[in-house]
Parts: sequence; structure tokens; C-alpha cells
Amino acid sequence: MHLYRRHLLLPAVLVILLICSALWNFYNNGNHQNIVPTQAGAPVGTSDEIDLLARLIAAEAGNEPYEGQVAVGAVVLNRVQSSLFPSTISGVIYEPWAFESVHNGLIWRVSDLSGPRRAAADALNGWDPTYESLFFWNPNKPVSPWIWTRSIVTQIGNHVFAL
Amino acid sequence: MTRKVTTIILSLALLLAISWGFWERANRMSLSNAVEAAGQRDFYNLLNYTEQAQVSMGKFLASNSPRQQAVHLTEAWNQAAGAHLSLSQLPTPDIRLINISKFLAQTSDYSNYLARKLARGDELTKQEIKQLIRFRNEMEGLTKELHKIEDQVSNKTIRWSSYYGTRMPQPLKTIANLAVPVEGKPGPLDGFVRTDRHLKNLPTLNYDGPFSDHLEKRKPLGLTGSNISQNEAGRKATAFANDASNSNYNINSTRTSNGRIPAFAFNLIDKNRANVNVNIDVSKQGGQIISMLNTRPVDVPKLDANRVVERATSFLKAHGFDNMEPTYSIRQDNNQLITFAAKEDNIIIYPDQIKVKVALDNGEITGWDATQYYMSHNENRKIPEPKLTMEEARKKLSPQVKVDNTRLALIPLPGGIEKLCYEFSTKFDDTRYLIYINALTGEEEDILQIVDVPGGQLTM
Repeated sequence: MHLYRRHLLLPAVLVILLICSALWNFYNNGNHQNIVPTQAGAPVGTSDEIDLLARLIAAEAGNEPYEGQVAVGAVVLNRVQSSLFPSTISGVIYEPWAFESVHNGLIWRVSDLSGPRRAAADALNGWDPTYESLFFWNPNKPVSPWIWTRSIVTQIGNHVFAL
Repeated sequence: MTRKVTTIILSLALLLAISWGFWERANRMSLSNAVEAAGQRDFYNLLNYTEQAQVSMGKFLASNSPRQQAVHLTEAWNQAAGAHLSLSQLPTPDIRLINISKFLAQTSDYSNYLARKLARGDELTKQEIKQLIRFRNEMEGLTKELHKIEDQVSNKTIRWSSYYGTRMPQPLKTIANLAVPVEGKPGPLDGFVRTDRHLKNLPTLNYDGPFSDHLEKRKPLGLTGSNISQNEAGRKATAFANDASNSNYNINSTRTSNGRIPAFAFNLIDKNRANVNVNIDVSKQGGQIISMLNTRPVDVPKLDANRVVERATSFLKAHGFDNMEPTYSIRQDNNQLITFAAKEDNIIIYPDQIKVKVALDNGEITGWDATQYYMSHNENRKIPEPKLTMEEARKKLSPQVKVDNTRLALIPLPGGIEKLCYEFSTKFDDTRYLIYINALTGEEEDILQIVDVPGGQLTM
């Protein structure tokens, strides 16, 4: 009896662990189901660009004020123009580790795009509250110390913008 | 009996769990292989393109025929651009190789600039050749460094897929690694870091292209006068917003901005309407309104396009811009966005540009962007007299195009240059193009294609 229980203990714990993680997995997948990743190849038309940019804005600055959303869109477009970054919107957005939300997949889970879409359009039309900034980060979150060596232009909402 | 049943159920569950585990493991391996393949592809593309670019630049230097030289430079331009793109997609976590990136972009753009120069029939200066030799030597250094890294890649000291992974506590990680061994540790990328640090010390490069270093130090030419106080800026912002919306605004918050145009940035709240707010930037020097954005969503359009242009033009006049000509216009989210350019002595000054956004539901001015205007507007700008007549310039056009319209225009070109040109609105087949012929030299300086979009036009 005693021996029997001990034999069961390890497999039982394992089974419970695995079932938990399976459930967690299914729950997560269920959450993504109705959202299809956008894929922007070159050359992209204007509406495709708005969509991709809006998605990034929603994922990176969904809770920011409108101006902060335009600012994030403007940073992407400033990067497109810069020699330090790729020269297309999709190249900039999908650069490895460039944006937290692409790395953790949030960019494909965002759903409310109405505000971000207007912000993306304003950014594409040239509005740039960051005056050619190339970087932004949340000063309350841990970031690479390197980023603080850039020259800071301004802070909008929770984001610091820098050249 | 129950014991037997429990045993069977638990064994089955265990079996299920194990197979699920193997299935997940297989998934993980295939994803990891795909990531590794992408990293390897980008790395070897980078290596190949760098090597090829270096060879092309060498051939250019060895060649004595301008035509062949232009060919080699064009090749170098493409290869360096390819290297730039590959580098940017390479998964190098926690290090930003901005100096290598800048070097590749500048090499590519500079080769393009020299190739264009040769194509125009101009000779290259000694200085320009010297600059290209410098680029070629740096490219050779980069290639050598990449070959050293290649050794690490081929003996698996560097595995691109190893940089991806979820952060988890060490004991869990050890167990996970026992289950699915990771090939290779996230190896050091010293080679890249060393090269990046070395390329940081390249001398500044000034030329007529978008990546010229002098552009990073541009100052707003259109701002004059002394600095104003925050209070005064606030008053200007409020007055501007009141006029734009025919309403009354209160200042909600203020921040300062230390960018290309140092400014006070205000957020204003409408006293009469709920949830309407406006962001306005006022330059510190001279207290000019640089930009404004009303964040309200606009309802169903009620105004027609002509009324909207009138509204924008009179708003510009009321704020001291008497000679502005509407150039492009596009409809977006029930707003009409109109781009105005300054006009002096019947010459369109494209660099001095102001964008005005008008709400199509009530004619409210919902946007204003004069950044470009204040960056480039210059009271002391000397516009030369054209040396060619319009008819002479017209003869420079391709005989295939049909000309609809002509006017004189000052146009901005890469590198912050402005040139006086005849602007020809033309048609080729069913596509419209704006062709710019230099009014002094007869050189074709630029071509823009006009693209029709819903509610307006864009140029590309």
C-alpha cells in the first residue's frame, strides 16, 4: 500500500503539471484565434502601411494619449529615413528585438485599432511630435543602459523620446 | 478492483502526457531550426554582400572608363544596401550595431551619388575618390572580421536560435535543457562589437545625399527673434486653438521639447465640448506655431472640397501666410489634408510647406504642420533668374509625354539642396508625372509620379 502510493506520486504530479500547461496553452491559443498576423512585403500600398503601423502603435502605445501614439508611429517612420535602420516600414518593425511587442507577440493580439489607425495616418502624413527621434522607452521599466546615452528630446505620456 | 482501474487510467494519462511532450519537443525543434536557418541566411548574405561590395569598389578604382566606373559603383550601391538589410535582420540581442549599419548605408548611398554624378557626365573630384578608397578599405576590414565570426558560426559557437527563449529560473531551465538540449550557448558577439566600435571613428561625410552627416546638424532657418516665455507661448497656443475650432480652450498640461526645433508643447482642453483636446507645439525662438493636432474623431462629411480649400486658405491668411498655394490634397478619416507651398513672384517654393487639415463635418481646422516651413524658410534666400525659357526647357522633355501644365518651382533635393526648375505636369499613357527641368542648366532634376487615392492625390 505504502510503496504503491510512493510509486504513483511522481507520475501523478507530472501528469497534473502537464495537464495544467496544456490547458494554459489551449487558453492562450484560443485568445489568438481570430487575429491574423499582417504581412507587409515591399512594395506596400498606403492602406497596408497604415494597418501595419497602427498594429505596432496599438501594441506599443495602446494606453498612451493620442499624441503619444502619433509619436510612436513617427519614430518608426524616422527610422525608415535613417541610415541606422532598415529602409522599409516592415523592415523596421520586424527588426529582431527592436520592439518588445513584436518579440512577445502582442502585435498580433491587439484588437482595437480605430484610434491607432488615425494616429498612424497622422504620422504617415508627416506629424512628428518627437522631431526626428529614433528611440523611445518607458523610463519606469528596465532598459539597456546604452539607451540613456542618446540625447532626449521630450517625454510624452509614459514614453521618453530620443535622437 | 478500483485500484486496477486507477492504475490503468493513470498509466494512460501518463502515456498521453509523454506523447504530448514529444509532440511539443518536435514543434520546438522545427521552430528552432527555422529560426537558425533565418539567422544563418542573414549572416551569410551579410558576408557575401560585404565581400562583393568591396570587390566592386576595387574594380571602380582600377577602372579608367567612366561608363564602366558607373557600372561598378551601381553594383557596389546594391551590394552595400543588401548588406545593410541583412545586418538589420540578424538576431544580435542586447547590442545595437548602429555604426556598422550607418557605415553600410553611407557606403551604399555614396556609391549611388557618385554613379549619378558619372551618369550626368561630371568628373569625380580627388576628394571623392579618396573617400571611396577609405570606404573600400573599411569594407575590407569588415569582411575580414565577418570571416572570423564565420569560423564561430560554422563550429557552432554562435547559434542564432540560442538567443531566443523565454526567461525562466535556472532550475527550470536546467530541466528544460535536459528534455530538449539547446545546441550551443548564446555565444559572445565580440567581433561585431569590436567592428562597431572601430567604425564609430569614421570621419564625417558631407555630400549631396540623404545620409550626409551635415544634415544631422540642420537648424530651423525660418525662426528669427528672441526666445519667448512659457506663459506667452501658452497664450499664443490658446489663441491659435480658439481660432482653429471657433471655441474656447484651457491649458491642460505643458511639456518642453528639445528637438530640432526647441518648443513648448501644450495640451489644451475644449471648454465647450467634452473629450475634445488639442496638442500644440510653439517654438521657443520667435513663438511660432509649429504644429497642431486636434484628436477628435470626425463625423460624416458635409462640406465639399472647394469650400474646404477656401477655409484652409483664409485660415492661413488670418495667421500671416498671404501667399500660399494649395498643392496636394488627400482625404483621410473624414478630414481633408491640404499641403500648401509658399509662392514668391509666381514661383512655387516647395520646401516652404505647411499642411492644414480640415474636418469635413464642420470645417474646423483639425491639424497644422509647419515644421518643414520653419526648417527651410529663409528670408535671405536668393532665387536665381532662369537662364532657359520655358520653351527651351520643354525641348528637354521626352517626346513621349504630353504636357498639360507648366510653372516655375523651387524644389528640394536630397542633401538639403534647392534648385530652380520648370515643373511640367505631364501624362505618359494614363499615368501622370511631374517632371522637373533645371531652369539654369536644362538638366532633368527629378520626376514624381502622381498617384490617385480616394479623395486626393499622392506623389511618389
